[in-house]
Amino acid sequence: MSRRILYVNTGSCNGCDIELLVAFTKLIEEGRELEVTHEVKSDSYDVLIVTGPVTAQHTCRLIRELFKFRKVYIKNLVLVGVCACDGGIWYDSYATMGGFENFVRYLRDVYGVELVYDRVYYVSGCPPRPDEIFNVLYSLL
Amino acid sequence: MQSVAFTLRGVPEVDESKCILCLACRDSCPVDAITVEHVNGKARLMINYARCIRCLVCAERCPVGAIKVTQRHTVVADSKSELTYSIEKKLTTCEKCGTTTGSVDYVNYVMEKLRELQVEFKLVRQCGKCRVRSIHEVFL
Repeated sequence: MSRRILYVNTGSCNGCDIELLVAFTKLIEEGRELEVTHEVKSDSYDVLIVTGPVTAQHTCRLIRELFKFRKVYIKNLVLVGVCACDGGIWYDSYATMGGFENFVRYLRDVYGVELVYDRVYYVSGCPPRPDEIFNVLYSLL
Repeated sequence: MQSVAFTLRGVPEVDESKCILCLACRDSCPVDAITVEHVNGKARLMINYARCIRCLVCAERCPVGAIKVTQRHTVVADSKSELTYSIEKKLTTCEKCGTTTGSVDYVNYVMEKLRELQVEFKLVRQCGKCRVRSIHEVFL
C-alpha cells in the first residue's frame, strides 16, 4: 500500500529540498511505496512535509491548495529545517510568516479555519541531515 | 579519513561552569535564538534550537570559551519545549541599592581581569547608577 505524502516548498532556499530528495531515495531503497505530490489531490494525507518559512507570496497559494476540498486531514506534520520550525533567519521579516505554526495561527485568527493534524515533528537544522529526516519519515511511514 | 559529516557544524552547547553570563552570545546571535529570563533570583540562558542556524557566531564571540560546538547537527523533537536548551546561573545584587547587576561569575571574572592589570577598582560590586554616584561623591 502506497503512502500519500504531500510535500510543499513554501519559499525555502532548496537546501532542505535537496536533503529531502536523499531521504526519499533512501526510503524507496528500503522498499517503501511513496506517492509524493505537490498538489492536493485527495482530502487526507499521511504526511505533510513543509520546508521554508511560508513567504507572503506562498500564503495565498497554500490556502488555495490546502482547502481545495473544503477540508484536508493530515496525520503527521513534519516541519523540515529551521525556517519551517520557527522562521530561521526570516523570523521577523515582513515578507514571511516566520514558520508554519504562525501560518496555522493566521488561518485560525483571520480565516477561522483549522488545519487538522494529529502530531507534529520538528526536524531542526540548516539544512537537516538526510539521515535524521529519513529516521523520522521511516518511523512514520 | 574523517567523514564529511564531522566537518559540519553542530548545535552549540554551553558549559555551565565556564559561562559568566556576559550576554555576548545573546547580543551577537543574528536570529535571536539565545534569550535570557530571570526566574527566582536566577538567570536562565536559553538556546532555541528550532531557530538556531548553526552559524556559531556565539562560540566565536564567547570570551571564556564556554560555548562548545557539538557534532549534533540535526535535532528532532515532537514538541518545541524539547528543542530548547537551557542553563541556570546565580545572580548577584548591588551592595548599595540591592538591584540585580549580573551573575556572580561575571563579577569574579572582572575582578580577576583587574587584578591582572594591577588596577584597584572597588566599585565592581555596585550597579551602574550607584557606581556613578559613588565616583561623584569622591570628586564633588
